[in-house]
Amino acid sequence: MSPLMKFLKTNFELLLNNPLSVLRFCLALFMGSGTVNKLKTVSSFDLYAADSLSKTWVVGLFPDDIFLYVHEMQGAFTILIIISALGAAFGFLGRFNLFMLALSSFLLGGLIEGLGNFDHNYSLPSQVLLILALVPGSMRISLDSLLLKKYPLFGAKADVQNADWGLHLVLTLVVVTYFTAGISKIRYGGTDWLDGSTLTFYLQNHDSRYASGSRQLLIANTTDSKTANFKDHYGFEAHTYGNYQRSKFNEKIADWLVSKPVLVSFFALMTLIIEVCGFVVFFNSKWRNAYLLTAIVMHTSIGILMGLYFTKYRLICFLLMDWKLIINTIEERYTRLAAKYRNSRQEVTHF
Amino acid sequence: MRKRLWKSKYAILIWTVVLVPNIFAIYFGVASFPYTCAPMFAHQVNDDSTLCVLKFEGSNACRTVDLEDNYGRSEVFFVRYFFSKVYGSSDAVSPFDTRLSDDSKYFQQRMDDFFEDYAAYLATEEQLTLDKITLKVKQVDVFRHDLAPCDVLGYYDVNLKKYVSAYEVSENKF
Repeated sequence: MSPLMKFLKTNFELLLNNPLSVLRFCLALFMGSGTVNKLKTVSSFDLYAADSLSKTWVVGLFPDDIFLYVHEMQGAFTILIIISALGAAFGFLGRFNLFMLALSSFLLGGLIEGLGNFDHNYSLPSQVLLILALVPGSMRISLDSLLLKKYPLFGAKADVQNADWGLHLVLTLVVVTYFTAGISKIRYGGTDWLDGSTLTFYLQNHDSRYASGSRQLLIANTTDSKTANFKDHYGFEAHTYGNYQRSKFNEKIADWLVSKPVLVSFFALMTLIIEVCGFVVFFNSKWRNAYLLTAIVMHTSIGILMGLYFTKYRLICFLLMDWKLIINTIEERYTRLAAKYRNSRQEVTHF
Repeated sequence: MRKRLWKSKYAILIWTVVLVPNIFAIYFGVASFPYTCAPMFAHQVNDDSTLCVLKFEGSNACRTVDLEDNYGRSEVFFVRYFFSKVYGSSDAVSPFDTRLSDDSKYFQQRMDDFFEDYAAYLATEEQLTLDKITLKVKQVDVFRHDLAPCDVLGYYDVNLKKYVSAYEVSENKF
C-alpha cells in the first residue's frame, strides 16, 4: 500500500471510529449558518412583537429585553454565532462553543416561535448540539484534543473516551422525536388519519398562491365539544401547515399522487409505521442503518412533495448510521468479488 | 471505582436533562421550542372539516379598513402567533397553546394585552388611529373559496382597552 493510501486509510478509520466528532463538525457548520439566518429573521421584525405572551420556556429564562438586545445588536450577535460555530466545528474551546451555539439556537428558535413559526427542522438539531457539548467522545477529533495532548493545562485531559452512551443518547432523541410525531397523528387525527385525506390536503395546500388574508387556515371542530369553550362556537383546534414546493415538476408529482387515494393512504400508513418504529435502531447496526436510511428517504420524499427537506434531520440520520459496518460489508464483498475474478482469470489461463 | 461511579452518575444526569423536558412535552402534548410533541400534519383534515381564515378589521368614525396589510409581519406568522400564543386552541391542552390550563379570565387578559399592543403598533407605525378592531372568521374550502359569510368572533374597544367576545354577548351588540 502506498504511503498516501495508508494515510488516507488511517484517517478514514479515525473518522469511522469517531462518529460524534464528525457529527459535531458538520452540524456546527449547518447550525451556525441556520442560526445566523434566524437572527436575520428576528431582527427584521418590528419591536412590538416582543411581548410576554410570545415567550417560550427557554426565552423566559432570559431577561425581558432580550428581543430588544437581539434586535439592536444584530452585528455583534452575528459575529458571536460565527465564532461559536467555527469553534464548535473545529473543536477549539469546543464544548464551550457548542454550548453557546446550542443556547443561541434555543434562544433564536424560541424568539421565532414567539413570532409565529415553530421551526421543527431546527428543534432536534439544537438539542443535538447541546448533547454534543455534554457527552464524552464528541471532542476526540478536535483542536482542543490535539492541544491538550501536547500541553496538558491545569490537569485537563484530552477527550480520549468514546463512551457509547453519548451516541445512544443522540439516537434516543432522534427516535423519541419520530415516535412523538407518529403518536401525535393518532392523538389528534385518530385512526382516520390513515385514510390519507390529511396528506392529500397538505399536498394541495400551497398557501403562498393565495391572496394575503386567505393564506393561513385554522381547523375548526364545530361538532365535538371536548371542552367547555368560552371563546366561540367554532372550536378552533389547530392551524394548518403550508406546502412550500415551488417546482412545477414536483407539483405535478404531488397532483398525480393526489389522484391515487389508495397510494396516499399507503404513504400515510408507511409514515406512521416509520415514525413509531424507531426503537428498532437499538436491535443491531443493520437495523439502525436500515431505519435511518428509511428516515432519510422519507424526508427526501416529503421534501420533493412539499418543499420541506429537513436537511439537518437528514444530516443527523446520515451521520448516525454505522458506517463501519457499511464500509466493512462493501470491503468484504469487494474482496470476495476480486478473489472470484482472480480465480476465474487463473482458470482461463490454465485452459 | 469512584471515578466510574461519578461517570455513571454524570451519564444519568445528562440523559435526564435531555429527555425529561422532551417527555414532558410529549406526555402533555405541548410545544415550546425546542421541545415539541411534533403535531405537524397531525390534525385530521378531510372533506367534512371546517376550515377558516381569520380577519382583523379596524374602524373609526370615518372609515373601516381591512388590516391584512398592517400585521407587521406575514399573515402566516401573524395568524399562527395570534392563534398559538393569544387565542389558543379549543382543546384543553394543545401544542397550539403553551398553557396547561385556560379559563375565561385568562383568555380575556390575553386578548386585552394583545389588542392593546396591536392597536398601539397600528397607531404609531401604521398611522391608523382606530376606535375598534373587529375579529372575524370566514369559512372556506381548501382552495379558499368562500363557504359562508364572515362571522364576528368579537371586537376590541380601543378606548376602553377591552375585548368583547361575541360568544358571551347578545348579537345585537355587534
